[in-house]
Formats: sequence, structure tokens, C-alpha cells
Amino acid sequence: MSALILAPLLAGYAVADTATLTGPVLAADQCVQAITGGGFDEKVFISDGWKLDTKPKEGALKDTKLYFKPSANAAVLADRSKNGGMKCTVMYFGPETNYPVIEYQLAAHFNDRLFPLDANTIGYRAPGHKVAVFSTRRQLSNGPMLEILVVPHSPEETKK
Amino acid sequence: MKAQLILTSAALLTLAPAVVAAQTAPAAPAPAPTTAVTTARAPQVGDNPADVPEFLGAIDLCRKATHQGAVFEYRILRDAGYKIGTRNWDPATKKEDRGHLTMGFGKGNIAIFVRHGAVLASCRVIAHVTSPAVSDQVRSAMISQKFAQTFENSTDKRVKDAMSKTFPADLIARTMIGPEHYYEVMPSNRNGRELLAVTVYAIVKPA
Repeated sequence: MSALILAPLLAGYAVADTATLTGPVLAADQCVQAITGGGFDEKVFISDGWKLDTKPKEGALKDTKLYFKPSANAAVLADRSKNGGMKCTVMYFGPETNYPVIEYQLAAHFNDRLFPLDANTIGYRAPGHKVAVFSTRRQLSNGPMLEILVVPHSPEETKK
Repeated sequence: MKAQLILTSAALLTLAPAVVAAQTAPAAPAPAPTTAVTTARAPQVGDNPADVPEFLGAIDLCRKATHQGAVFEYRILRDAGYKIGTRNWDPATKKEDRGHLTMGFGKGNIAIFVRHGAVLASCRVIAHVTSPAVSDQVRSAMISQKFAQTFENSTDKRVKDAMSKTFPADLIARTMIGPEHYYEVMPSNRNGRELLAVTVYAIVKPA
């Protein structure tokens, strides 16, 4: 309850701009649109300026599709989901100071249910869509990454 | 659902460095040496004491955004112009507890901290105030605005009975009860600065 509680907020306040949706949040929303039909609707990304990576891929990545959009500072990976349908992953490589803003925007944008899972992972449910969204902070060998995963999910059907 | 999270295969992680490399711009030339310039600091949250209307407005946002079942409408804070400043994870203190996410937001002279766990979300408004009397003014305003009643004057017998069994007396004295929420009003003084915190909890209604 002391000023110590206020101090961290003051320190971070200057960097946060939550008025405009950030690239990764828009990409997550596009992921929701793209996989909602059960497949992967590439047009959602292409029409927004994302470019398909045409380099041949090997191994586990052979059947994946990778999209780039430099202005979003992110990449999008479309892959087959274990539970059927497609899953869509946004990989954000921007500064870690942007992570709270992105996570807050995800919560405010989907605005249905946030469920914190652990120190690094938050889940969100997109209302009106049978998908679940997770954001996970990861430390890679060459720096941090915020990964936003959109997967098919229908809690009502799971309960039956 | 947990299994879905173990999605990032080794292949994906090996892909990431290549993606980073593909998107990394060439290194910019070193900037020319500059002399230090003193600039005025931009106004920040909590620079000045909050007044009663500002504090009450923040409580109103909290009560609109906080719902039972650990549902918090972050959109309400965003649309009101609150910006996020911090995001921390408080580890579980008991085995059955999964821990809490605490997000700190700021606007004007008000800080709002949302504590979001697996089964409960709470919203705390905290600000510097000019004097201890502001606490009483905020309580009075909460009553006149029909946000809540004092514990003694509340007619919600079910909630009062439940609180009487579990809350210590000093907490009951700080508690106010509304139709959908209850509030903990906590004034304090640290290092000569008056602080006021009001925490908003959703009342869990029987199914």
C-alpha cells in the first residue's frame, strides 16, 4: 500500500501506448479469423500485406506456412493442430518493454475471459469464436520472444 | 488445453533465429556526439494528489469491470484511457492456489492494480490524497452515489453473515457492501504522504 507500490507503475507508464492496437494483437485477431473456419484462410494475411515465405522447409516445418510483415515486427506460422483444424502462431521479436502493452491489449481486445496460467503464460478466450488464445513469454538463445498461439477450442463441446 | 501449450516444438524454436535475422534491419551508423540537454520531465501518474471525483470515477470503472468468476473487462480501462505500466506474477502461496497476475494501470493521478487469479479478480484504486479526511469523503460519496453502504447499514444479510464468519473485525470496519461488489477502503500514511486505496471485489452470487 505504500509509495513502493506506485513506483513500478510510474517507471513503466511512459512507454505504454495502449490507444492503438499493436501489430502482434492485430495479427492474433487475424489468426482468429483465419482458423475459425477449420482451415487456414490465407487471404486474411495476404490482403493485409503479409508475405508468404517461399523458401523450402524441411522436417517438422515441411507442411507449415510462414508469413512475414516487417512493420509488425513479427512472423506468423500456420500449422496443423493436433486436435484437428489449424493453429496459428504469432511470434513477436520486439522489445520486452512492449510485452505488457501487448498482453493488456489482447485482454482488452478479446475481452471475454482471461485466465493466467503461470508466470509466463496467459490464456484468453475470443468471444464468438471456437478458439483459445495464449500468450507466452519465451527466452531464446538470441533474445526474448512473445509467442501468441491461437488454437481451435470449444469448451462446451469438451464438457460433453 | 495444457497440452496445446506445448506447441512450440524444437523446430519452431530453431526457426525463430532465422526469423529474427530476416527482420533485423542493418545496424544504424553511430550517432554523432551530443551534449546533455536538461528537459522537463513529462507528467506522470501520481504526481499530484487525486481529488474525490477523480477517485470516485476510478472506483466506478473498477466496479463496472470486475465480475464474479474471475472475469475482468480490461476494455473498460482501455476505453477510459488507462495505460498499462506493470505486469507481475505473484506465485502461489498455497498448494491449491495457482498464483495471480497483477497488472498496474495509470491515468492522471490514479493508479489501478488488477489482481487476476484463476477464480477471483479484484481491482484496487490507489492514489495520493491531500489529507486523511479524503477517505471519509470518498466513503460518503460512495454511499450517496449508491455504490455501497457501510457494513452496519447494509441490508445484504447473506453477505454480512458470510463476512462476519471469515473477516477479522478491523477488515469489517473497512468494508463497504454494494449490490454486486464489496469494497475495502484503506487509508494509510507512508513517509508523510497520505495514501488512499479502495479495493473492489465482486460478490459471488449463489448459482
